[in-house]
Amino acid sequence: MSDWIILAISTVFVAAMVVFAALLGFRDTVRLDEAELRRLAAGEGAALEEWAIARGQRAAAARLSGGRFMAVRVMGDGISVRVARVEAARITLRRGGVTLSFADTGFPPLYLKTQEPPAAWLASLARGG
Amino acid sequence: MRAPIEPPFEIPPIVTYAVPAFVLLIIIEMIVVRATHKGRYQFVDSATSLSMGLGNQVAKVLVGAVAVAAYYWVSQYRLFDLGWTWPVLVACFFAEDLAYYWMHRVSHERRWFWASHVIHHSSQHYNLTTALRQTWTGTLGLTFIFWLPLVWIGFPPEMVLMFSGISLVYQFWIHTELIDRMGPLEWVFNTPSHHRVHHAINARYLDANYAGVLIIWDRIFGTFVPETKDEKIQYGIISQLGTFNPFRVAFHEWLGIWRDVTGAKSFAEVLGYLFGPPGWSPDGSRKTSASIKAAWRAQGQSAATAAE
Repeated sequence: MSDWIILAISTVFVAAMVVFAALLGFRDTVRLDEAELRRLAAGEGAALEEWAIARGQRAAAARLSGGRFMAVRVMGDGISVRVARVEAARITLRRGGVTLSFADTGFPPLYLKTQEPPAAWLASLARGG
Repeated sequence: MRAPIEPPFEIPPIVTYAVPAFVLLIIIEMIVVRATHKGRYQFVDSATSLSMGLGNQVAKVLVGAVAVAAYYWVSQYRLFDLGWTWPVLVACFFAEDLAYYWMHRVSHERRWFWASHVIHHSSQHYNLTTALRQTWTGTLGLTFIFWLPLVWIGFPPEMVLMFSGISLVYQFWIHTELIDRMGPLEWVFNTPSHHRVHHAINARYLDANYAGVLIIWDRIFGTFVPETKDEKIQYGIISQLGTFNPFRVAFHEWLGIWRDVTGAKSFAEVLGYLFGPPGWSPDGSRKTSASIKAAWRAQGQSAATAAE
């Protein structure tokens, strides 16, 4: 059998297994809250100073002690965190939210849907403050 | 040109033949995890892992021949004509497993090779789909060079490829949280317990248990760490990926290398970014396994001092 036919059959099985996993209910997802952000900050040896949690609680940003900045993204039932100096992140205000970008392909820009207008500290960071 | 010694039988496509068993075992594991709540699955994570496995097979079809061609080219200059005899087969099994150990170890300790291998560690889960989360860039990243000494010594290329396939199939079933310790088998073989340690990012477990089939290499070379029940294992990588996109998963470390190398201020920095440990930086500001372990040890010592 040609390699490409085997790959085509494999693709069908992969799709079937993913559907099966979804049907079995493996769709757990974490919800972020202040306690979780404090725990994550402590893990970085810092304290939480100010924070914003997106509507839906699947993304968050926080200013940490020591002039650092933390972005948090929910990855299903896991979490991905990036901590950087404020100047190493690009923070862009958008209508209804904020986009946080890092020079890291493994952590795509994070869009944070926040209250209108965004928290003053986030707006200040976006202005480079 | 010296042709390699042909096998006396047709070698089956071992990995292809094992795929139905992989599928069946994954489905069984999902059902058991659902029923017992031991182990974890997340369907998007599994989708990414399985996509990476599929992409790995596509990469093999497209460029896998480069590695095979290298084996045959080196085989022309072999030192000995080792034929397909039982003693040679046994020796090749051990030699292949030793080559795997060093390939795997270097893949964790040097960023160039880590850029391919990081993919396999990038899931925060540890289940049978994680076993299939494989690199797309292994051949292009020259991972195959670790097996070239075997064909240079004189093991037939097809024999080395056969044992590589067997090793890959063996390593599938050890990616599970459902199997606990396995008694005396733990002394000699790589087991689910040993390999959970390898996939852990807890400081005590970093850079340990590189074995393929036999754990003896870790015991011999001082990289063996047993699993302990005192600490819950966290899986993944130090900077957990913030994406399930297979293309970002496949290439993120290579792009990181590119960014660092193009921003390097000297040739020494270029070498450091390419072949230093993952996380190496000129000013030491980034985390490496060594710095994480050192901080963990220091924390343990200060806790012990405080307790006194």
